[in-house]
Amino acid sequence: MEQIVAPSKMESFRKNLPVSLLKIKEEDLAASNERLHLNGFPNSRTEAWKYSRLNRIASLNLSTRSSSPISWEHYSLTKEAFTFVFQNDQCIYFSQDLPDGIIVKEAVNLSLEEWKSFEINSHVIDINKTHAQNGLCVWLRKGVNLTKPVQLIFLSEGTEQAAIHRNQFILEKDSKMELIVSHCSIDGKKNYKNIVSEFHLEENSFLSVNKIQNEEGEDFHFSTENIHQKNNSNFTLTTLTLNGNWVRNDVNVFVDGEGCETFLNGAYLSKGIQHIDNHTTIDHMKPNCNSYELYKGVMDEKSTAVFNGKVFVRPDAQKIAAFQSNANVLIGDEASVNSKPELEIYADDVKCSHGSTIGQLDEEAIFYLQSRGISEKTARRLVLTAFMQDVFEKITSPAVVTFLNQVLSERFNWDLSILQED
Amino acid sequence: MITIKNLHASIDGKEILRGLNLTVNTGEVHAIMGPNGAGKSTLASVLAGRDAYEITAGEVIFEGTDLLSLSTEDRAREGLFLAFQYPVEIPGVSNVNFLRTAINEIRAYKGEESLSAKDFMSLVREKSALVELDSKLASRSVNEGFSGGEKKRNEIFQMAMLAPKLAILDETDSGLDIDALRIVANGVNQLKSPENAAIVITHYQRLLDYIVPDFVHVLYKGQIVKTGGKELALELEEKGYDWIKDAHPTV
Repeated sequence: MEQIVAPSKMESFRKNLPVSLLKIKEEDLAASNERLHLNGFPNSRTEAWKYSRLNRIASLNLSTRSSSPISWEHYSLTKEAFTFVFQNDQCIYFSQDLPDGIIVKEAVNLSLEEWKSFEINSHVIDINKTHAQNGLCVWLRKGVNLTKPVQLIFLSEGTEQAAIHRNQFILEKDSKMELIVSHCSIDGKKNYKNIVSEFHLEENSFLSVNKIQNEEGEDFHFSTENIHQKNNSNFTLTTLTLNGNWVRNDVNVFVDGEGCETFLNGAYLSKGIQHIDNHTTIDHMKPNCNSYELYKGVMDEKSTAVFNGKVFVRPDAQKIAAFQSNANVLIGDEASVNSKPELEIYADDVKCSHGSTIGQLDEEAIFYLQSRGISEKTARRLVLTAFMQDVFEKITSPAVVTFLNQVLSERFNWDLSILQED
Repeated sequence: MITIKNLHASIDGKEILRGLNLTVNTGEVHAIMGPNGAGKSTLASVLAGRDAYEITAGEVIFEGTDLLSLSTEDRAREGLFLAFQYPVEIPGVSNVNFLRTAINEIRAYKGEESLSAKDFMSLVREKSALVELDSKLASRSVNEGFSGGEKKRNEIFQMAMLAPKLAILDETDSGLDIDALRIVANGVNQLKSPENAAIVITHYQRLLDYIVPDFVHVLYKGQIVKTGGKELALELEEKGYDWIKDAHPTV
């Protein structure tokens, strides 16, 4: 049944949230406040939120309280990285040994002029704009090729705590870096995480982001990634959602240059009553670009997933090749997924395709493997791992692959080595 | 090797096998022929352990073990092999990795050590040559994009790799041209030994020119209604199945 969440819900949701500590233009802040006040939370009539009900989030009684820093080393995926750690709303570790050519600041230390902006709104972004506490801002100078990845860890702990951060990454011309973003929690109970990350890729720059969502417990997680690409830049985002009670990812890529390549990959594995929602938009504004999107998921038990992928090709954006694919396997009898690929093409010389599949495990394949002496359990694992393998292969960081293997074996009892050649 | 006594099996409440009896000894090749719908593939599926079928009566003793009480994988580990009529495509799982997993699970079941990667690969080379299977196919995904002939050769290749005691070939000749048929039959013949046995299920006599059976059984309406030597196959080829049907109207 449809239920309308009145704007007053938004006011009570925000009442204990501290105001933003980041610099923001007065008129932008006022506009966000007004939109939140007028529109409140989106309800199920809003297409983008149709399958992800916000009632449980709207009724959270959030606050921010300071807690003593916990030891984060256990949550680090690699020592070979420039690491920055946030615990709830606080920055608890800031790597000092940075090489020339990279400038890193906490978001609270950015001047108004240093912030770039996107023309994109959502209630998630508006909450972020009005209540952001901190975040990480990185500039990579012209021509710099960062040899070690930047690792950004967001830890959450406590009960009904809000962690609202805004990150900004600027890659100047000809620069290159890899980013690992890791989300985890320690006994989180109904915590709210809202992370907006904005990426500006200037000409011929190269950025690969591996994002891991592995929050335990009952946390609510909102990630927004906005990406702006200039000529000949190359952007890859691989999102691995391995745990989390309620996860929403919004990715918006503006391909505003020629010769760009964009890769969006996602793997989501869920069980219990988890809910995982991936919304992506790739906006091809200029000609001669390629984009590739591959999202795959396996849903067990009563978990639910949503995939909505939009690709726009604007009128003058000729010679675009855009490929999108979403494939799902439901292994739980009560699991479900809603998949919606959307293409809007206004140019006439383009090559675009999209595909969406939802299926169950091929029982005939399982029987075939068993008939060769392979146990049913191994057979299921083999077929599922093979299904996910092409997304897993997109992961560019060896540290992330190692971590993925560990989580798959501990949480899902999978074994990736089964597919590897000697 | 295997003794099937009074086997009754049904699917969705419909009885397909109605009191089937068959004994196969080591070193023997048995052909099972019969018209469409006689229950040939059902027999193969029931022996391999496909769970869509319900066994309503009878027993199957395989090497002294109650076969029907075993899981599909344990039947394979005990030495039973089914060459599928329609081999399944499994995207993303390479042929060799799947076979290495299978061989090592079978070895673990028998309390044997895993095969080293080197020994495994030399076994792959040896056995793929037997069925003239391109070694590139061995590293591709299981049956994915294989031609009909390649799929059947891949079945015999797997059979060669697993060296079963009893091989059941379910319509392995269907859809094969004469060259592929010869290659497949040649593979089967080379694997024949005094210690193993084979049940060859086929609709046509053609395959039996290449794989010469010791016994030919005619399966009709879920029972074996006639047994003879290899000449029975020729008789069936010549006269068709109508005389069998006419002789057993009440089965």
